Amino acid sequence: MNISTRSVNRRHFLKAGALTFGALGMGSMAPFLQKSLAGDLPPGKKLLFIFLRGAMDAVQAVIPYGDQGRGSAKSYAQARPNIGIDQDDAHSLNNFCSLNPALQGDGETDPKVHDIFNGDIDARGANLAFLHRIGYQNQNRSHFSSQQFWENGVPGNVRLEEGIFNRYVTSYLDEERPLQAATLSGNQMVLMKGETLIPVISDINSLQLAGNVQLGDFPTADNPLGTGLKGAYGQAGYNQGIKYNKKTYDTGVALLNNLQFFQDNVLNRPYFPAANARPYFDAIGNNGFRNNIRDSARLLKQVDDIQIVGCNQGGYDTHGGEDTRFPVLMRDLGLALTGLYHDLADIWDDVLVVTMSEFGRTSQENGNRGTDHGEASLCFAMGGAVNGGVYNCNRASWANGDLFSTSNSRYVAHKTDYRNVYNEILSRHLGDPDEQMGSIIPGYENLVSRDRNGYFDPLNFINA
Amino acid sequence: MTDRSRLDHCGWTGTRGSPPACSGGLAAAAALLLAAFCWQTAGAQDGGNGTENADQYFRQIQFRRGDFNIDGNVDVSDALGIFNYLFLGGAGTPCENAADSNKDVSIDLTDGVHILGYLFMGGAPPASPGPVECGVETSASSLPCRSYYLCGSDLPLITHVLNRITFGATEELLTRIQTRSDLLEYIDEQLSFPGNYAQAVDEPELRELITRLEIGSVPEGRFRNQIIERLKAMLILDAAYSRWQLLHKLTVFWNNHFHTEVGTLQQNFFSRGGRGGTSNRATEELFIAMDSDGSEFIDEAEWNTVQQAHPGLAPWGVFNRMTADGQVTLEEFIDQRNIAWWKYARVQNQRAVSAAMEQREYDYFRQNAFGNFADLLEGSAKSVAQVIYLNNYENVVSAPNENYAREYLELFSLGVDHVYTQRDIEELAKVFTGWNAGWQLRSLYDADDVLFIGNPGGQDFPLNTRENGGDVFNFPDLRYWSDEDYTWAFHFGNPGRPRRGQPPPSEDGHDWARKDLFLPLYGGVDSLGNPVSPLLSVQIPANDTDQTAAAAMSEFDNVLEVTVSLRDCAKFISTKLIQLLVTDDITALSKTYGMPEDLQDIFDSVDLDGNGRLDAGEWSEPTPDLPNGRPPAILATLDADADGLVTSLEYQEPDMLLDAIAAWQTSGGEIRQVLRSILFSDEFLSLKFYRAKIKDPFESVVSTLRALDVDVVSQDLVGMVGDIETAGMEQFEFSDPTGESELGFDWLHTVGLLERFKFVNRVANPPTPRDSRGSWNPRNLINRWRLTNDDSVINYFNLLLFGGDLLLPHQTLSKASYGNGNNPENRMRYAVSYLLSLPPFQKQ
Repeated sequence: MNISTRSVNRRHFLKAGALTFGALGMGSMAPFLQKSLAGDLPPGKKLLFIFLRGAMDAVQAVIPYGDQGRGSAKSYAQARPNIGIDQDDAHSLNNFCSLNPALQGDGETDPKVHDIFNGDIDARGANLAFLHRIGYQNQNRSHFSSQQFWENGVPGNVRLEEGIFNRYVTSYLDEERPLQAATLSGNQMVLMKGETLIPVISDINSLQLAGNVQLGDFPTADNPLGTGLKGAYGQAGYNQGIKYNKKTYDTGVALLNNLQFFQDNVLNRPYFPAANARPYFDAIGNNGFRNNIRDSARLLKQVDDIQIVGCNQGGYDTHGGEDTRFPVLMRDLGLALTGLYHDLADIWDDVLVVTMSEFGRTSQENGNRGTDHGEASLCFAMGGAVNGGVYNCNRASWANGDLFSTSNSRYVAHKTDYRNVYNEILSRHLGDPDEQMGSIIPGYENLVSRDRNGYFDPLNFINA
Repeated sequence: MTDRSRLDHCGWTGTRGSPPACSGGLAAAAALLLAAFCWQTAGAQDGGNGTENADQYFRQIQFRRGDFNIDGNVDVSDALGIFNYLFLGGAGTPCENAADSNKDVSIDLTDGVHILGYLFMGGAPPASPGPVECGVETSASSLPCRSYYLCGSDLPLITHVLNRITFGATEELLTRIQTRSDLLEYIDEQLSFPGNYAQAVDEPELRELITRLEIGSVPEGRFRNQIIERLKAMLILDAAYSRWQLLHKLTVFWNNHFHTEVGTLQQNFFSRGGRGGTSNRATEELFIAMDSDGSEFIDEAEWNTVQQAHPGLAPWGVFNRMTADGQVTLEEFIDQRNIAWWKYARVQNQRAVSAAMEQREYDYFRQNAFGNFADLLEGSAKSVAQVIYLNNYENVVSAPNENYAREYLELFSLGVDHVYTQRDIEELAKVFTGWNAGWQLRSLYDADDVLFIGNPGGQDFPLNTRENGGDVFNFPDLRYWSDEDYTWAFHFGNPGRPRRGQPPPSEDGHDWARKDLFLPLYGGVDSLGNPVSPLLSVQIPANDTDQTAAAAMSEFDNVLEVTVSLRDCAKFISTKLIQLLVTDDITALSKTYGMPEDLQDIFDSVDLDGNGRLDAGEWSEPTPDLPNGRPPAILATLDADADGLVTSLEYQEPDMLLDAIAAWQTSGGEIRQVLRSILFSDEFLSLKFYRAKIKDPFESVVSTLRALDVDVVSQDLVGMVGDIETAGMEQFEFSDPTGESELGFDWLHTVGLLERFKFVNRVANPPTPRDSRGSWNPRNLINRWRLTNDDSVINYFNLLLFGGDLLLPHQTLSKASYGNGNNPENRMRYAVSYLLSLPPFQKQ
């Protein structure tokens, strides 16, 4: 347990309350997850993460053509005779691996991920990184479990409904910041669940109630009842006791605060994506994903104090028909990244866009033009502080036969623990001091000190 | 500052009034609501003039002194609650008199100490009333008690149970169920629904409504282009208006548990340029039917004859381009069938077919909701939608696909990460090879060939597509789904993907090699970390002689039988049912039975240092059965307080779960018996989990419709379907095979709550007619109950929806929500919109 000696403020009381709640048998927070007291406000950096649900096929996105195979371990082309991408069609990244062609095209509304990688678009340089072979030991191949582990940071614990980014926000909770984080989705994801109630927004423009609904006022010393909905949800004396009361009341308060915040600060400021971003956003095929990406960009640009924004892209469980389904998903993702690259130009130095997915897929295609659940995953990372390049996918890091390098010779074995990626995001980009890391990523120091396999060696994809 | 000072400051005067309800003259059918109402106000009545002093009224409320947190017991949590309240800013209590355990007319440190002294040091109990019996305050000098709903009426319990086993209380139900005894009868009645549900017979009025709203038939009118919405709307109507509430609650549950999804059906079946799920045999039959002159090719005239009758079929000119010589051979026909049938079908029609598959599944789950789990599991495995959704229709010996096998174990029967291993998944996938789905001509329909039509009882089966057909020629148009000539069905035999220009392989696609499941040497452990018994292994020998469909299906029978007999199957499904009906948090259930002897022995054998706690080292210690030790993930799952140690109490399973498992094992997996065990348990029939579960968006919408008895037309339902989706729930369209969360906790987030606020306002107080959801007329309610003043309205809904325990601040705020108008209907609309937006209405 990492107890800070910082000055005690309001967070102390919340924390103490939570501990007492646990003593009443109504909480189950592990001691190692008890977060430290309030930390200093980190610098104003922003993160957008996109969780690719369903296990994105890592070696189909960034293709390791350089793996020539070894013994019975096939090369990519041999393992994927039907769904494999011809090397001539892919875009070379480093003479070892290449980019899926759906991520780059010549048309005005085709994605330009390869151009971004090469730094060919403008003077910002090469700020896009591909992090191959990310995972964890004893990889779980259930979507549910592995997503849970990627999000709660504790492999093996499927019950823990508390996310790494929520812990971060909780550690640096700042009452002066009305909106520190937000999820753009129809539901909350585990990464954002936890002690601090992070709002879920399905559509920014729908964040308002009809005029005949009384939002009212929260209770005050002068008016302990308050009025309207704020009065109802602001009845602090009744927000505990019966289980779920607290969450119900807290959600109401968060929502009503948000409605007010958006009414005062966002909805009255029309948002138009940058002209050179718009065609890419508009071309995203999936309506929900398109709206969430556009709203994400809007929040990052219009809300000065926001730190973390998250959304999802689903549909990556390509057991069959991957040859037709995967390019559609890649194209949408590529369009999103290209649109974001343009739209976030003004805040580029402060922003990081990163993708994650629960695991990769079998290197050998199955008989249905698809692939099954595998091991190592792939992350995209893009932003002003990113050291562009390909990580864990070059001659030095990828031996012939590594497409089948797990003990059962079916998957790509991981080389870097996913928590190591989080660590760089938190410590180098968002600015978390090391002392908090052990509580935000439970047991992180021990993981690093006990690592004998290089799983926690820094990738350095973000400039220190 | 205490709650009292705040409330006093608000000027609440206890003017609950003397409602007309208590003065008689109302319909006899309303007796219950009146009785409950009179109960709540009886203590406050002083000649019925409604002007009694508030403090005097509070003293009349029955309570138990010492029960600070109002959970029905005086225990250490009350002392901690008091300390938390006093020193850490924790919650107060609406019954301060109960908190005043030493009766010194104040809440302070000594009250908590008094409770601890009573509990642990033989001190005096809190003064009467309590700590066990309920009673009223008799002393003139006391703190107030504004609300203590655990004494004096069955209404809270009735509210609690109705919230869980129905989609929400209604006036009609509360009229009928007035006592605990009525409640038990109602539970029994709901559980005793006889036989298979057939809406036209069992609930003709509901059927008529669904038909009238164009929900359950051919999509014409408003729903014509809203195929999925139509299906979702049917769920709303079933849930809102069916008499068999528990049946529908379970149906929705099973439909989600055995999840399939229209988007993937569409993708897998229609959009891949794949086989469209059509079997070669059926295609061949169709070819023969079209080849009217028996020439073994189809010419333009023959094609046009069929195409004329079935305009959805591609025109000859389109199809002919794909042939070599203008004469379509069988091989060309098979090869090009996708072009013939699917390529030109509109996306909307593809969705229609996918939706029809979903509806057939839903009907099956409704018929079997209380039946044997083996039937549910088998029905799901062989439903056309499931065969397509999780790729079993592509799972052939030459190209095994383990997708369905994995989810069969992980999601549908045993739960994640125990009992089975990756090897079991691969072995099980072999059992499913050759499974398929496709259409056939009814005239050629052969019950002996299309297997497993009809359930073991010989009654209707969802896959008995004699009732729900599809048309091959114009199949993607839902109008032909009910065609008499063609049908869709599960069947065995799948030669795999045909090659262009080649005749279809003659093989059945099944892997006839030996298969072994749950072998101890694979290393599977159960949910308590113990090796799976070798007695439960499934060993299917290689089959070189009897390679028939029946033999292939018997392999599955074998697996199915063992699956349902596994204790972890009983545990997994029972746990989900308890989470559905009782509490998300299984660890909150009582554990009073103690550890069964055999499990205690195992626990002791792992607990090497004998300290009563299992640590990671002890857990991972190799044993002869488990050379790699027990899996760490199981330890983490058992470790409820996440302190890294598993105590015997954590290792032990809750009473309710043990009883449910026992009911399963005794009955062989009869869901009705498992439900009976849960619903008649003392723990469920108490207020321990009163309002301790959050409604999901569907439940929220339906409970609103039921509470207000709203009339709906088709367009309202379209809007409601959209409302549920915007709140985050995508029934039939949720992309993950897990189905949507059964845990209420997952459904309360800001966007979900926002949409709830919007929805109740659209129903109760729509700002414009365009925004309305359904038709609700306050005038009916006003007249029926003589709800002529603000208090009477609030009291009515307090009893109807909130068990009579609506917090006083919320009552006061509700009164303030009326607005300034004088029109009683408009005033009620504002008030009801507000009441249904309150925190307790978000819970069940």
